[in-house]
Amino acid sequence: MKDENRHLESQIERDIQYLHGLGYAQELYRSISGFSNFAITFSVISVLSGLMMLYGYGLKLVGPFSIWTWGVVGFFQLILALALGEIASIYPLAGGVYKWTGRLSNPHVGWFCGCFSLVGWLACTAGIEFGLGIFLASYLGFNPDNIKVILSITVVIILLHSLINIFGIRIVAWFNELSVSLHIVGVVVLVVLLFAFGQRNPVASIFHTGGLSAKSLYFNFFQALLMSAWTLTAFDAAANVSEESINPSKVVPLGMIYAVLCSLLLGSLLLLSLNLALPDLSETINADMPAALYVIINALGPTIYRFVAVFVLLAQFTAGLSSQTVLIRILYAFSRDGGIPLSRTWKYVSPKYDTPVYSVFLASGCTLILCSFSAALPVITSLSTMGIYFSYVITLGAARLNWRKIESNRGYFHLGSFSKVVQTLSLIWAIFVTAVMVILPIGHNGAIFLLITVFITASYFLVMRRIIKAE
Amino acid sequence: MGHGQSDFQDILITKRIADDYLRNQGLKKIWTPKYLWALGTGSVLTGLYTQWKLCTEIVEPLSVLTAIGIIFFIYLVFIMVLSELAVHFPYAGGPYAFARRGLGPFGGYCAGTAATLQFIFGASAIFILFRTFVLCLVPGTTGIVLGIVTFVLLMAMYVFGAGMPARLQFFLTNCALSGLILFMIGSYGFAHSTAFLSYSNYSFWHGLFLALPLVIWYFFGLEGLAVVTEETKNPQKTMSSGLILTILSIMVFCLGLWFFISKSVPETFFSGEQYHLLSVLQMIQPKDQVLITTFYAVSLCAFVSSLNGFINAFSRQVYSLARSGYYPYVLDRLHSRCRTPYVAILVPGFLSIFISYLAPLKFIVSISIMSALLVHILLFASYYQICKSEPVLFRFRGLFNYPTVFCFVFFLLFAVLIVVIINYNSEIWRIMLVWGLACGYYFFWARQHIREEAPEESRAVSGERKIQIDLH
Repeated sequence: MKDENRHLESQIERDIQYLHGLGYAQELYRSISGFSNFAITFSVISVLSGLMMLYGYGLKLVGPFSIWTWGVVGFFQLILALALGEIASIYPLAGGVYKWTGRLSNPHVGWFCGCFSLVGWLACTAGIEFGLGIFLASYLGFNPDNIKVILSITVVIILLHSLINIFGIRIVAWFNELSVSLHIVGVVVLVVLLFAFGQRNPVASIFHTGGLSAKSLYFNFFQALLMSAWTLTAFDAAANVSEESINPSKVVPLGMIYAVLCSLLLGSLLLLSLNLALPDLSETINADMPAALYVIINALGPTIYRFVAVFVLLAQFTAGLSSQTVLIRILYAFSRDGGIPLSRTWKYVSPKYDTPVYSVFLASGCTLILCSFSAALPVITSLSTMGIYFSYVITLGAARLNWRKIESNRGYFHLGSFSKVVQTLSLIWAIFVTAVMVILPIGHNGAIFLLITVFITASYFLVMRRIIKAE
Repeated sequence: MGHGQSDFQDILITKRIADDYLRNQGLKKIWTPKYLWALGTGSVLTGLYTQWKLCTEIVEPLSVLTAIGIIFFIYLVFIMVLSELAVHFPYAGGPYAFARRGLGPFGGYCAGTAATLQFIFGASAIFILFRTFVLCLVPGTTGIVLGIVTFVLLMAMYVFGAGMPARLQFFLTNCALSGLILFMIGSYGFAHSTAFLSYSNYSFWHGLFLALPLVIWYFFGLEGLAVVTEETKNPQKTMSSGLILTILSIMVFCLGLWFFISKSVPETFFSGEQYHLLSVLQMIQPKDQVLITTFYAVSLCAFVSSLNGFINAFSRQVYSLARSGYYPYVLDRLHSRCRTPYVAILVPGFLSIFISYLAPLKFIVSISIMSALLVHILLFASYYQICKSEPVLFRFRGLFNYPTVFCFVFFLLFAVLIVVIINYNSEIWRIMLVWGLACGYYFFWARQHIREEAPEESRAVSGERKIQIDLH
């Protein structure tokens, strides 16, 4: 045991030295292991809650054929995880894409990237927490149209998340490890029950498209990709806790990749079992509850549905917690570089809890404000994907243009001769997803995204251009 | 070293000798707080799933609640004492190690043997319940074979995989707890028409008298946590957090089950019918076959997790007593590659299986419960003695406002023991016979073969000598 401790201490010392080499002091508490790192990312992806809520979206567009979007998106997200993992291994810094872009290109481009990442993660956190509020209100028997009740529940959820985040990364890590168990057990239980008691359709039904013509199929299929893209995203969460991870150059990229792989596997099983248990398609689509939950309640009865819903609720809770943790780290990274107003306040790290407590308040306050625009929740959730993917576009673009920096600074995890190909493929994929989300006729929120871009650009030219320091 | 009589009969056992012995005969450190929680909680789950039906008269819910409160209090104080003792005596001996220091060799032997009897007979009882449950689904020889194969596989896992039992226990415990949550969800909304707190006409005290021996089963098995101290990396932190988390989890689920059963079918409390949670659910939701089948499958996890916990408990207890020379030396052998006490796992394990077929259930249940109570009494007595001789050793001493709380707990323990003796009075002669044989074995063989270099012995002896040196 003493040898183990010594090894751990020397690794932490090396990590701190590496961080000093990158120009930063160790302020956060470095304690989370490889598994905890994987768990944070896995929790944010949250297959159990994401697919449960979005299964109906894919079903409406291409019927049971939507399962293939999971495979397509999963493949490309894995490529993306490999590309980002290589960069994370070189620059294990809080702030993730913001810091990587700043290092690969220049701090001004990094700031832009960070802003979009911040918008994405803020919307992601708000979307998860408010979504949980709606689901919990409905589960407890409240009227889901009563916005006051939902907002009250959401406030409690945000408060709980904030308290956990204040008290330290070790407690967050504990919740994320619990989340891994919840997801695995929840998915396995659900899949086994659906296969055992709920199977109505043959396996060939996963090729049914709900009677679409070939022309409509291509168009709808691209739209349906968003179901999987919305769920299997935000895996750069691992990178944002790099400064709190032990041996981040190794564990962060591996955590991202394993999280994507595990989510891919569990999501595939879940979608397959749901499709095989699907009752009448139009009845399912038109039900007054999420399609996945309708399938479950039909196949397994109301008690099992309520039981499975407990797993979904807990999974959503841990997903929201992880998302808020990442948001706080991005705010901390920004304020450490003076990248947002009142940076001195937000970058303060509590000596008692080793967490940036004022950033916690800022994150929860902003999330609450966003949640109060509840009528625009679908816009908010699509903003999260747009913001995060666009930040990937900027990062991967910077990586592709400055590829020599990656080649000459290889970290523990690198792709060798495949690096260029993987970077290029993932850049194309990120551009594709962003374009699909903002451009009509598929993307409906391009105008809002443009507004945000204008706001960020204006802020840069009016305020930040003078403040941003060279690294 | 470790096989045969002590190599150090005539020399002073130094710390170095004791440390060398522990290095050769010590166990691997695998238990973290979450696995410890799973071990403790999983061990008691059979009681929570099944112990609602062994009586012949209906008992009112308030009596059951009071009985739960009394037993919880006893176990809460037990856990706090255990967490203190485990820090200062972090050895596989558990009750034996703790009692050896405070009560001497015979006291240590009695505590260790009581724990051994509790765990071996407890495992038999759980195996009988498990077998009966499996036979409902898979009748005939196949069901019997399935039951035995499960038990043997669990033992094999303990022999060949040092860390695997902990991970399996964690998985099984979570599945079984999910089953309890499923039960609560399934019975939610089925309110009984009668005010559930005063359902029966039987007196409160009569109900309490009947309920006490059965409610013990909701916490029965927690004593097994005492024997894993040597296998934790940081006993002070791990044991305290693991133990407290365990007792609180069990209490929450206990109260939850009590509440949902009281609200929906209070007449099931210890009535003569074969009610246990599955039957209760069948009564409440007879048409939901998916729910019933799922609950049945998940219930199996409760039995397997309890068996897993008891196998761990009896193997470690027997191993430590053999390592110290009280039991035959063959039982302290470690597997050369896996460093697991394979003989101490297999021999008591097969003995448990034989007992389950040969002995009557009432005898098995009574001896295991009485042995558990004896463990509690001896540990409290030892704690009391150690507090007298080394007053500054323990943290919670002030918290207990000792001896007031101690006297109260002793009183409760003896009261529960008397209630159990009265309820199982027909089995007393068999229990006394077993103990007579155990004591005879000690006086005629065991006390001449004690190995002072064993960690439990050397720790106890060094404590005694230190006091002697201080006094002089």
